[in-house]
Amino acid sequence: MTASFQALQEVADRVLNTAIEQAIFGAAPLTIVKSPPGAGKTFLVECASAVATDKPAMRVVVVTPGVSQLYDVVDRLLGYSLPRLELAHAKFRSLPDMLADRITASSGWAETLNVGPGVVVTNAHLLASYLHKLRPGTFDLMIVDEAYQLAASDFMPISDLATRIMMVGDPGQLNPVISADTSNLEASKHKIHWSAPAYVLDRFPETPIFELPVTRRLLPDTSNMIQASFYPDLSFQSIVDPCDRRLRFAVSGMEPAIDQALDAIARGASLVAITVPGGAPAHEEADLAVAAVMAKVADRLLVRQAEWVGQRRLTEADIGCIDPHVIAGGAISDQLRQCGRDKIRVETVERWQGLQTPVSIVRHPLSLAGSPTAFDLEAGRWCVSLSRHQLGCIIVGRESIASVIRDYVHSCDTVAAGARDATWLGYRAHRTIWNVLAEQGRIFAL
Amino acid sequence: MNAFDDTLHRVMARHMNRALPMRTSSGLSSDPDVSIGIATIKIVTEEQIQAIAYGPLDGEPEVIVRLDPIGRDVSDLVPFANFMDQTANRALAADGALRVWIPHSVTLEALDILGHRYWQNQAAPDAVVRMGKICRIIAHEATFPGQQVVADAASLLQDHIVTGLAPIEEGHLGAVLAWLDPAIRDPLTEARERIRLPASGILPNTPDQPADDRVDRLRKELKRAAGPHKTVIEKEIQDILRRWVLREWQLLVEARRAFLALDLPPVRLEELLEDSTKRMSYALQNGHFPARQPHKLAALLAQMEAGLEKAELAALEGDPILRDQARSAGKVVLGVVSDVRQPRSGRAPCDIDIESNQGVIRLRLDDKVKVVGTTITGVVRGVFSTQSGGTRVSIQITNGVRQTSSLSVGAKLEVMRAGYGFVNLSALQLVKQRQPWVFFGNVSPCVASGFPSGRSALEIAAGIRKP
Repeated sequence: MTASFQALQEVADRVLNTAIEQAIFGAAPLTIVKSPPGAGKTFLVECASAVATDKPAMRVVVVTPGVSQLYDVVDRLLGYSLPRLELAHAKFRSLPDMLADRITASSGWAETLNVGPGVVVTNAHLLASYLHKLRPGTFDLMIVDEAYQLAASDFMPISDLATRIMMVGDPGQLNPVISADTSNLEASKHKIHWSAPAYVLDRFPETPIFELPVTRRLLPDTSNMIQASFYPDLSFQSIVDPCDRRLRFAVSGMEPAIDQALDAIARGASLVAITVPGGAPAHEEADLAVAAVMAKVADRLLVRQAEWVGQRRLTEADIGCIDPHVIAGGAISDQLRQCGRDKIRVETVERWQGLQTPVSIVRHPLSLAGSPTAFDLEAGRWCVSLSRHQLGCIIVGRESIASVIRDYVHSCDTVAAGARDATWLGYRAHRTIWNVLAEQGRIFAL
Repeated sequence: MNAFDDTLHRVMARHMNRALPMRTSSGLSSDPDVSIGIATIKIVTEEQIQAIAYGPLDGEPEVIVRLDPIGRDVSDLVPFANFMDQTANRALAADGALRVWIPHSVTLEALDILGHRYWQNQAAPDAVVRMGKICRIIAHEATFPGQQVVADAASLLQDHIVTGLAPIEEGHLGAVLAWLDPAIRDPLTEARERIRLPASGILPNTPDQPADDRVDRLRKELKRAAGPHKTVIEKEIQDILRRWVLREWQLLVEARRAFLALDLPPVRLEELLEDSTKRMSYALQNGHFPARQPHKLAALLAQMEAGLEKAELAALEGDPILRDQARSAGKVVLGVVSDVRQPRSGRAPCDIDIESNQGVIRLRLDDKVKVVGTTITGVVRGVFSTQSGGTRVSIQITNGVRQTSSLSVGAKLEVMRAGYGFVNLSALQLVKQRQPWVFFGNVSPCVASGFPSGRSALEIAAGIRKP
């Protein structure tokens, strides 16, 4: 690691230590830690759990918005010798394979849980379901992981279950999933539909905030683009040394555009795009031509024997496809199956949140016929899509993306007056990223 | 319906010169005994109602026309206020079962504003204040997805049929109705002719129908007029307003008739209906209390979310056309039972595998599911891709294990997600009692500071990390 990266790493470690110290020993009952993608949120949760159960001998609860996140946290915490580690999930759930035989899950809340210092990992809904059995102060410390995905209304019932609360989350990614029209609530004094940290900061702006200043996942070029486009209020830099995170191909390229894009990644451009001629078909829910190119990109990575230099040769498990729509994702799966690459994971953006993969292949949400909707433009969704990769991300879409961005006219009534307009912010991010890719010669036309 | 299907249906409708149904079931329950209609004409710039037609839907409406709708004297609204009070009382006697038909959403906005204007207006007569409260209750109820009180005729028709018009043209209720009238041979021409005059609760203002300008001028003249001339002006204003509010009423009546003539059975709407009647019964009895406290707002949000889910699932379960569309998006899985693991017939435990040729499905591990058309429910325990590009879903049956005809190899089943949305009112009741500071406090409390050990978090974590 170079001296500059070392210095950044030390700063990041100091922030992590200070945030944990404040959350566990400080006079403020609530601490918020904002984190960019790949900054080590879960590592922070691990460290906080270790400190809290050490000398202060606290009863800690780690709360996640959804159940899949709680399994990931438990998987990580199993790597520590904590005085007690417990998992509680809903009665109808079964443990995923990765945790089977490693921990005994409690189906629902049980009186035997939370006795003495240690950690219970559960999700917000489960605690709310057993609220009648849980008194205020049941826990000494509550760590809310992925807190920006937890709606304030879901945090409310459990908010007094611990004396101290530490919220950890990424403010640039997907907001809590709320399907109902919340425009009327926007005028309310209590923005109950906002994420829990946003709600807290709206009511208590003096709440201690710590900002993790580095990303350990994204290479510097991606990090710079992501930070400028999605995190205007959160400054961070990559501490990934490009020399340690290189892609190399054993077989030279021959496919125009596709191999050129892959070679660009090997040369150090970790975010590139491939465009398919024309526009998306007007009356199809999946663009088969784009899906075919995405499958081809995956195939070429493997045929060319892509290698994470110093680590391993990449396999299907090292590639992830991201599509905002389930049906379009199904078309990609079909194409992958047809070229014998059916072990490559294809998921929606929501499913990819919180995960990482060496190489991601992303369908551009503005590769569409007609005008983009708020869903297509949403900033958080695009941010998640572009921040999963450790080595490289290949965006695939129609060449019409440029004109979709150029011709977009934003409606002034997309949100309640005075409210944050995520659609507009998303549009600006799209425009910035596409322009940067074009200026830097990172768009490869088929 | 996806964009392609939508366009295809419009082309077919235009070719056949009639509207085509998009559903086989209704999203609206049957009209209860207490069913009324309301149509309004407002002043565009002032958002003030200047004419109202109201009453039961099987007869002539009562009409109020307002000579001075922006004046402070609101006694002209008292007959409408009394009618609303009587309606509310009748609905209360029927446990909250009420249906309010309106031609389109503009009427609802007008009623909402009317409610806001008078529900706490101490200068208004008591009857008008009560009317304001009832209007607010109705408008509030309309914000709940799946609600069964407010029947917005234009919106209902748009949800259940498709015409040969462009979607934006379907905003005109009269134009939509042209496609539902068998007597009209050329509905496209007729619809576009009708679109020339607004059907949005305002007076027209076209060169051949300058009603809005005319009323505006007459009102100015009225201020200076006296004697018989004044009476003549008043009569002309009244005639214009009456004519156009009755046109709105007629649109409402025709739209309701057309909707009912679709003869779509209301299926699986019992829960939504019960939710609506409960809310209405409580509000009509106790008054309208806008949610302001955080736990009330959380309950409101949860009710809206639950309503949305209930409405979607009810529509899916009750309507094969919607399920067919949902299959393409993976929300419903159609497949054949390929394996049943039930050691004792008709008894739990029971696990089944369903093979489907759908490559795209939205069911995930541990999702609660139900088998359409049965009482069988279960939990997804596995989702696997098959060699042929389809999917195999393993389901642990939790309810209905005795329905062996469905739970047998070769049985064709449709599986969809079971309803999850519920409002955790008991938790919110506890929140109200406990008043957590984050939501109810005005200042952040201090907690007793602790004493760090002197070692960094990284050191402590590293110290207990397993090798």
